[in-house]
Amino acid sequence: MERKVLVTDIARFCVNDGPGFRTNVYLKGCPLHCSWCHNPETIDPEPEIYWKRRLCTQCGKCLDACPKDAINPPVDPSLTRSEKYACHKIIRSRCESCMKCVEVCPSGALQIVGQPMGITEILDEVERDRLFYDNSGGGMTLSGGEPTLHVRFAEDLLGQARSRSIHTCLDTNGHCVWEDLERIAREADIILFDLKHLDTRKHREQTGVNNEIILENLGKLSSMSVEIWVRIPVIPGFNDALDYHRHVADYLAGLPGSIDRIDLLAYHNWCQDKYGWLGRDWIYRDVEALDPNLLEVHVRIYRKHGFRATIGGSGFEEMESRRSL
Amino acid sequence: MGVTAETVKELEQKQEWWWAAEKKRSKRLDYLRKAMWKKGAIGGLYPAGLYIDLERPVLQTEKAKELESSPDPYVIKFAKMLAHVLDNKTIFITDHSQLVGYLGSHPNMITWDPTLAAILNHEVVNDPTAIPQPVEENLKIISEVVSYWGGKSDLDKILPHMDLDDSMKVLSGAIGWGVPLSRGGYSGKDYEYIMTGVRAFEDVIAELDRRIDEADARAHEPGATREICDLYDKMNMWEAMKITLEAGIRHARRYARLARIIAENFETDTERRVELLQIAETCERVPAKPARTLQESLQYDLFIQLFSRNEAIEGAWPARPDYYHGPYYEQEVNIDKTLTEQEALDLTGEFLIRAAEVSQYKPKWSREGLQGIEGTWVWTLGGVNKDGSDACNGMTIALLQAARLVRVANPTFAFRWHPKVKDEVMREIFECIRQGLGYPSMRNDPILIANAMNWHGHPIEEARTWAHQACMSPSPCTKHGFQPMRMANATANCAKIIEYVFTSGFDNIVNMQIGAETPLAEAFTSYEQFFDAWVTQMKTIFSILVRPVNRARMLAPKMTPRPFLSAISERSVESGLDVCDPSISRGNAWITAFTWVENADSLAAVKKLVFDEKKYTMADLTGALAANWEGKEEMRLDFVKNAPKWGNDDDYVDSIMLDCLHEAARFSRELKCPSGNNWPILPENVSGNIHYANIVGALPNGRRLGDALYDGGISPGPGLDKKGPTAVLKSCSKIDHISDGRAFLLNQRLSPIQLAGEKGYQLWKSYMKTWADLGLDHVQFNCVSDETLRSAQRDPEKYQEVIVRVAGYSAHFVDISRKTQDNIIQRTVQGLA
Repeated sequence: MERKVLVTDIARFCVNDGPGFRTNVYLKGCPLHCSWCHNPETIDPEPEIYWKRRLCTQCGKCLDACPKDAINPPVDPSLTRSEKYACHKIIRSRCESCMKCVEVCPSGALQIVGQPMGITEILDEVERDRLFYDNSGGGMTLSGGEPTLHVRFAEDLLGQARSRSIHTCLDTNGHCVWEDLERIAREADIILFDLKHLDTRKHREQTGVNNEIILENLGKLSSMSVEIWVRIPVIPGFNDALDYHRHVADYLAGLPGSIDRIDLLAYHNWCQDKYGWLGRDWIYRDVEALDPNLLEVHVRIYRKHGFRATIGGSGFEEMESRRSL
Repeated sequence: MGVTAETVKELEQKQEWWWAAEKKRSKRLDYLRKAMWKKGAIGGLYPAGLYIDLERPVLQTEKAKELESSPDPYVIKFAKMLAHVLDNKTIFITDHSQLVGYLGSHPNMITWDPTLAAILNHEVVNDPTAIPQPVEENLKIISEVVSYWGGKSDLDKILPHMDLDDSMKVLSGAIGWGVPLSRGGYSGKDYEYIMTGVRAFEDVIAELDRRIDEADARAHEPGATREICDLYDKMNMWEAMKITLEAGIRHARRYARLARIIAENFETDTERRVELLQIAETCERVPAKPARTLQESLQYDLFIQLFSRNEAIEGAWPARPDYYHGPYYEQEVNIDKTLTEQEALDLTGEFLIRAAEVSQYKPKWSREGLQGIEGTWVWTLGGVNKDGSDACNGMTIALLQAARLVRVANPTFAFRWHPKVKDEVMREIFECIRQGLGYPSMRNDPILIANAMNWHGHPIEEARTWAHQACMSPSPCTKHGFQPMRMANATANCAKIIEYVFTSGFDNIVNMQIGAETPLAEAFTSYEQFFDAWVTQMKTIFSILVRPVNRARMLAPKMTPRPFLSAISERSVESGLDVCDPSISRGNAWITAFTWVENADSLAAVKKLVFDEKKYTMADLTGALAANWEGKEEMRLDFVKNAPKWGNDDDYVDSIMLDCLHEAARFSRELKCPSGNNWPILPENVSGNIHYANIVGALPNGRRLGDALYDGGISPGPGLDKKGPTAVLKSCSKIDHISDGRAFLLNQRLSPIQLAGEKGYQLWKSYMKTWADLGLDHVQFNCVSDETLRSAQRDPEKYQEVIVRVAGYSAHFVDISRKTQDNIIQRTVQGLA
């Protein structure tokens, strides 16, 4: 039987995750639990249920369908549609994810997050935008979650994409066994390597894991002949100090191999609703999105060190120079 | 000055393009732009301060009365009436202007031609806002005019010769709009004859004199053949043409005199005096003799456009201004250096303003269908020369720059893209799009040239001269290639095709049998039967619309002639036949297909939910539609959400779209015009999607009576294209844009965030390259503005496809909470994200 993994989304026309127009494939499951995570639905490796309360008409069909009595009874829809309403439709402690409620939902308010997909199915979808890749230097970006959690699958997916002549990026947090990362990285054209913090204590506080493996893997990767774009999510109060970035620039310059580009990604809270749909809370709920213009100073630090660096990671930045290469 | 420059930059950063343009344009352009009266109606009503001009109707009526007893044939009387208006109408010269000419007596006047249709005249009588003061006195004048033209107007004369059944169905307004008139539609022009600088009015008059003399001599030789007898008609026609051209020359010279009088007697400013004398010299030169300078060329063009609108109501403005004015621009700006780029830009900007202010009183359905604009004035830029080389020139760039400075909603541009277009031109186009003009729309030149050859048999050199005849349809500008009149009523409200399948052709809105009496929908046991009924309804509706046009094309030359348009058309000057005569026309017609995509989505929903999944019976569905989905909300949502929709790169529904197009294309070759040519369809909408909201009943795509229809052409339903812009292009690319129809309109929304900076240009260019590779013939961009996003907040169902994208994250805007939306809107407006 064909191997399948849970995919939360295949997003076409992505323009900030590697060069050109890209199709992002988001795999479910992540060993890190970053407190600012903007794709919280990709953390849990199991299927989950979104409840989009604005679409819910409170018809009560889910209540009748649920065998585990895990559904809160209908209330006035105007109440749940207000911004302040905090209660979730599903009582998670009782839910066994049988998805019966999703099946009967007529309004689309209840949705399954995470559909099992095989490599062929994914690549057939990815291949639909081939002409866009050809005209922009784009391709597929394997993202998550953390793709290295699915070693074989990720390796084969990237490998088969390559045999179909699709350019690939691997978007990874680097937290995995080196041998696994090496195997997968060999199949990718560009590694988008997320760097959260150089201080392991701070790293653990906000992501749940130490950073030693990650930094070690970054060092080893840099010695490989693969192209690396380091992506730094800039989080207010966590890693936005200028001194810290000077330190990062020095660190990256001192790696055994070279880094090809650095993208500074400004923190945003636009994923607020996803947390609500999942019935979860997060500590960044009330933290305003960071104005990307404020990162102009930061990006200059990296440029002074001779790095190619961007704010936002556009796949069309420096395109003319890429084309002329 | 440094302060000002800084401010412009700031305004541009805030995307306040209007205010930035105000600061960037010259003082002259700023004055002229602000002195212009915007004429477009909003919600069918003319804005305050605009009035119906009674001068023309009074002049036309007094002349018509005077000519009643004259022995002249109609065409000569008509030409004399036209000359009477040009000789006597009020003229004026706007301060600071360098180009002159306006249809009405004052800049805020909307001209009304009472000779076209009694139904239009009755709208004037009942107009709630635009009758000038003093109302009572003017109503008396209006009613005298209206009663005089009752039974004498073009439509009144034509209608009795039409099939009554067809006429009733057309005039019901349910399946189409427009009337089959040769003086009310969209006139193509033989620019290759009249605009190339080779000849002007005096040359044509000399040619006409020669032909009249020759014919006169031959007509009185011994013999009485058909050919000889026909000469008498031809001589009249030539005579009428001559009357209009001579009136045109006299009219221009009235402006010359006025300019001279002001300059020599009243103007105190010495610089302005020179300009006025320049105007005088220009109007003495053109249209009598060919233009020598850019100013003369633009003035000549403007006169021709105004004279043509003196003869007919024109809903469009076919033009290729860079191609025909470009040589003058090159000569003056780049070779002789007699004109600076800035001066040329001023003239070009003023030319746009002079066009933008033109207005003619139109019926309510037209005003509603063309929200806020006077007509679909799509000017054609770019493209190739007859030999296939790049036709872009300095004037192309001047027009694109001037458009950003004057920012008028009409005319707009459409750009004929081809692989040889230079990067500097693409950047100018991109600036217009980025700055939220909404134009130029992009047309795929190689595809459309092949399309023109395929459908209408234009030879390649002829096909390469094409300009937009209306919003979308390419029509060449040559002797044999141009179409003198697109009669607007072959404009189909195609959603009725699928609606009639469920009502056996009975229209419940206007309460009459319009479509074919196909079997009761409940009785269909297979999708094939259902689709057959669709094909029958499609053929029936198209035929009802096309027959009156074909008939009117045969009647027009005698009953509603166009002596002026004939006079600037080589084939008429040569033959002495009216320009609309089918025997000298290629007959490059098309059926405009409004509300087309609803058919594919509806057919797909029926196929999937009724015949594949058997979730509902045809009886269930027929009942739900008859009840306008009342009490069936869950079922309706099933048809909206669980049936595949066009625009998602989904073969299930995309193949149904192709089936529909192939059937229509097959039928297009059976429907023939009087010149023997085909009637391909052309899906587009203008604002018909709003106009028809209350005219189209419930549909199987989940639409209810009163809901706006899709926004047009082959654009997916608003919010139904959930896979983003690449999937939309992929769906559209399954259509063969050469052989499946005449052209296909596609709207796309782009975010200003994506378009910011150099990377925005690179993104757009890659997108355009792919669009071209996929063989699409059209695309136009709406920049997602704060306004769009505010609308999305109010009306989320219609904006579900608006996607917010940042690294590693993308979300549908409408899925995001209010507070976050506000935050994103703020960024969008400032272009910061």
